[in-house]
Amino acid sequence: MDLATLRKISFILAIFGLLLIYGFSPSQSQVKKSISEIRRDCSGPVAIEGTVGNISYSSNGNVIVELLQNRSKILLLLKDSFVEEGSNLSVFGKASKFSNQCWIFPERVELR
Amino acid sequence: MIDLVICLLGMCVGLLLGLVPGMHINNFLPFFILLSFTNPQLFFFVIAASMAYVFSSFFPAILLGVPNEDTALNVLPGHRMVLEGNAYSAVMVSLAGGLLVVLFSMPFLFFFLNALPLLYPALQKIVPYMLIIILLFMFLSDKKQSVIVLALSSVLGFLTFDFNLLLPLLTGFFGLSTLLISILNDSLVSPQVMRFDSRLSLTNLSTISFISCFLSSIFGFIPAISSSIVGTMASYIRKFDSEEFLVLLSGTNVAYMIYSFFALILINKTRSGSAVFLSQIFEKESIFFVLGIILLSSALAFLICFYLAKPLVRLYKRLDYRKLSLLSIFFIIAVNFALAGPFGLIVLLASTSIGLLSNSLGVKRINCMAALIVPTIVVLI
Repeated sequence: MDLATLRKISFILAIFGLLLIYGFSPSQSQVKKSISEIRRDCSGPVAIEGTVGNISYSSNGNVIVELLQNRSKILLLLKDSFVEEGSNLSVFGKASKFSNQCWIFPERVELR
Repeated sequence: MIDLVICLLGMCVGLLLGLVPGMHINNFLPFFILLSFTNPQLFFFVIAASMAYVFSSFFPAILLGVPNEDTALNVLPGHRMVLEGNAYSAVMVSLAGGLLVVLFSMPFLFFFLNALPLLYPALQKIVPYMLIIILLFMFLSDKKQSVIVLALSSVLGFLTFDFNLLLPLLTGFFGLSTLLISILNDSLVSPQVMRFDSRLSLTNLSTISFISCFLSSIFGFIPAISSSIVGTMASYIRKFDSEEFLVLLSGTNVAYMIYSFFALILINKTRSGSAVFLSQIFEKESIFFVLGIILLSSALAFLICFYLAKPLVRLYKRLDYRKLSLLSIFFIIAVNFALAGPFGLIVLLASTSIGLLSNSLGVKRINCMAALIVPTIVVLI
């Protein structure tokens, strides 16, 4: 058995692994969508831009933010209150239905 | 990009954990939750760490005779090769087996994608009967005295079944008893050959790795059948020499870890400590992204271990074997006490005695695995 062959195999596997990571990365699949598009199927990774509307607090201390875009709105669940009404946000995360509403559970939130 | 960085970070942590003798990644998983990662990031981090851990854990298992629950049987052929002066080759064939299993696991994934959700319920029903057949097979293929080891191991298995005491149980059976036998017999370690001196051809290596992959694809999804048991079964089907057996066992370890992630994603079942941890933070992740992390972290872990092998074996070579064995024994006892407490030490003493007994009776040490098999049969029936 030749050790050089094993090294080559490991390089090929590493490159193939990199390609898969690049091709199927959740952050790559967070495609920018409008609120109305997200609300249609309300699932999977999404990226969205919008303006903060009403801010309220859940019983367990989470921050519920209304994200507005044109005349549509969607709910955003944050752990801390670092945004204020009127702020413009870029949100990367997952859309999911909860209590008959469409929510975005963010992985990353950026103030614009 | 951030996913890639997290994957690499996880790989580094896994590599370091694997190099610590007696340390199992399962013991460290609760600490990962302290990292300020999002759930998907933590998911990828643990997968990368687990894969790298499997590769680097071959070092303490082979060089120091300190196994974890998965590498328990690697100690025996590995120790034999170390005594013969082939520690470097022993490490390299283990790594090679692991790498090829990563390669072969890819086609199996495509099979699992369609077949696993259909086959799994049927497989679950026959698990206890499969275990009974394995046990009978173990008994019939060995001396009659093996029944003593089987019985004692089973009793010890029952006594420890409700506690998380796999570390002292398996370290005693396979690690500590082996080290004590080496010291008592005053085993002479030949000078270590620092070049890769293996009789295995690439075809042979690939065949055995494929067997590991195939057997793990059947048994890896069944509760209570550890990778060591799969190795045991394969050794009854075909005769393996030390090198081949090492490839088989290391390959099975790697395959088990990979399949545990596939099982979590495809059928939502946990088959390893890492998968149990991940199930708590699991969100629907792309199987191909997970495969990418497995491939990258395994390939890089292989390369790092590949280049680390010589310095680590050299380091080992410089040390006095008797002193090193004593140090390992002390370390094993300390790790067991730290992780399993005083009760763990009692279990370690009992399992070491059974390991020594099996040696003095001249029966295979594999019979000690009854400690896991028999209680599981009783629970499942």
